Amino acid sequence: MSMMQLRNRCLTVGLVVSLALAGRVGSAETLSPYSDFQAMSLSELATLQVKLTFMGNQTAVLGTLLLSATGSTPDPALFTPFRRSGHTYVNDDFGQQRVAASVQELKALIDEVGTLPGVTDGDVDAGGYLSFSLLNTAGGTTKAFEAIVDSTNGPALFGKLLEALGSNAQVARALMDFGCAAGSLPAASPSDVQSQVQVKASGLRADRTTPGEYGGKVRVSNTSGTTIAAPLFLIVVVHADANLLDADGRTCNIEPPGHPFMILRSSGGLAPGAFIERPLRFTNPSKSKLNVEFKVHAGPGTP
Amino acid sequence: MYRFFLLACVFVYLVPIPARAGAISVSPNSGSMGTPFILSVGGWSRCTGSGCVGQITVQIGNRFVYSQPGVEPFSVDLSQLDPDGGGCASCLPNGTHTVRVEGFHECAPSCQVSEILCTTFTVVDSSAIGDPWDLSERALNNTPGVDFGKTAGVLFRFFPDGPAGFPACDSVHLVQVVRETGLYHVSPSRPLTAAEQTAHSAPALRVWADSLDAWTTPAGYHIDISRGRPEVPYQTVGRPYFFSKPGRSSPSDTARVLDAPTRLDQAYPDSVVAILLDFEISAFCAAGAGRGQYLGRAIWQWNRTKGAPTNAGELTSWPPLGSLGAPTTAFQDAVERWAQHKGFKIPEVAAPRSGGTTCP
Repeated sequence: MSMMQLRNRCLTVGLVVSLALAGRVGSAETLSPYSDFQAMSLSELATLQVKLTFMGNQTAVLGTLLLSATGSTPDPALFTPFRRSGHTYVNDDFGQQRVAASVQELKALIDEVGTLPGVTDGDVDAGGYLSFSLLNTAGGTTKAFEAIVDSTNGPALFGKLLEALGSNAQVARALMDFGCAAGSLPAASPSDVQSQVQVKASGLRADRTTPGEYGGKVRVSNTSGTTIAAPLFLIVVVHADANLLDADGRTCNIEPPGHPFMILRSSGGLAPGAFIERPLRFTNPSKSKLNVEFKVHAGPGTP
Repeated sequence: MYRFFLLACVFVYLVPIPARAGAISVSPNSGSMGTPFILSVGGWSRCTGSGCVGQITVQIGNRFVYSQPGVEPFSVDLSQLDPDGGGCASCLPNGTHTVRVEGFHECAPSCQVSEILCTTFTVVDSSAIGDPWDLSERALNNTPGVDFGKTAGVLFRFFPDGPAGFPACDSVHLVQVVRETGLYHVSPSRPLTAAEQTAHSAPALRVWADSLDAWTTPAGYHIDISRGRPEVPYQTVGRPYFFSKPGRSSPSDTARVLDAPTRLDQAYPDSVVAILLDFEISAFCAAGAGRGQYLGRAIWQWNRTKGAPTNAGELTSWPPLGSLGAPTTAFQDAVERWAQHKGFKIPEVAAPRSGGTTCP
């Protein structure tokens, strides 16, 4: 064997060893089955973290959503060793929107999602673009679960998440915003009841006491002969860079998407002739003329 | 007394008189060779009557650089004017330049008014302006312990806080457009539609892709905004853009955007082997004294080969080319096309109410 042949063989062996090591380093820590999380007590759920990461096509960041128990301090870095090779977690690295829920709400989340075998299987769906992860350090052992779901299991997952956490306004708003940007919300939307109501805004003007803010009020009256079933949504279509303060969320399924809405009534309904009046507050950074339209939708579905 | 008043009224209505004095301003009034110097003209004197004609001409020093029929308010970027056709759009030499704006307006039966105003602006060395773009590459951290040498994206920060070079601005936003191209092994490259890249995506994202394609210009550029965000062109508004308004510096607001393109293998149609994204991002003043002015531009490019070991691509060139320059025509066309579709009125440069002095 010549010196050159020996050097070539050494290079080849070195390359093979390097690739093998790289493969080992690149593999994730072992994930736990979903049932481990279903078995956790309420006290153990105090250290649970739930993470939603978008993995689909994007030209801009879609920041990750991180949910944890109220009063706990989430640590998204704990998820890192459990990352699956070949999938992009770049949105995790660019920051997370953090929201909190009670341990009872987290338990409800685990129970609701537990009815979805397409999620609890913890696998990677073909064409999966949304990572749903759980992580808990209770008892000193870090357990993690991850399912990367597709366009069938994704909306089903969000439906369950909203069922479990819908009464938590902050979490529901964050889920709606994230699910919309990720194209993962259930597609059904509340019905258009514009022809059954009259919407009248009054007193919309600049607030002299709070520079940059505008105030006024809006009245929605049922002008039809039948009760309009709740939930009742007022969609505020704002133009330019004005924004409605104290909105309950933003439209996704209702056209046009991306505009704030208020939940006027969440249960019961609006009887014929009855009305609901609400104060409105806007920011209007560009100070351009405040141009606002209103739409009213009602009934089940995701606005 | 009554007769005198009546005569005065007749005089007022029969004799055409100029409406009010004009005003001019150059914003910013100090900048470097690459700075867009926006001249705004408004409130120019005009006659009343019939068959009116008018014209406003602009000189820098002794050179005529621009003229416009009528005396309506307008704004124009002095750095982009090229009266001699020499391709020297922004090569104003360092020093103080005098802008002379002359306008006339005449109407039948016998009214003619003219007005001349001057102002100055100063071109300084670019080192006096500083670079408002603070760009940093975000390395890919896909798998612990493995450095793929790839790039996840770019953090764009725009701080127009130099001692000169920028108008005061209350609301700086970043606007981005993108052109998506498919590359082949042998065949020539071709533009890709959003629809064909999302054929295997969730239904809601396919609907969104149709919107992006409707906003795409013949040159292949469309505005880069995410689904489910307010109907504004700014990347610096909406949920995905955390911490996009880090605060105000003097004299302007600041802005930042984190951008990390991703393409999964299933986004590659037919035999496309790589997707190339050409981006142009511009800082725009939406409110305040500098309303309607672009403050700087950066060009960057990202690509990913199908089947690459990770789902992230890489920057073709680093760093992105940041400048003080005005957006390209391709950028402006894409933003305008989106605005027309959405009925959004892009904030415009306001006509000045004061400014300018009698010319020497």
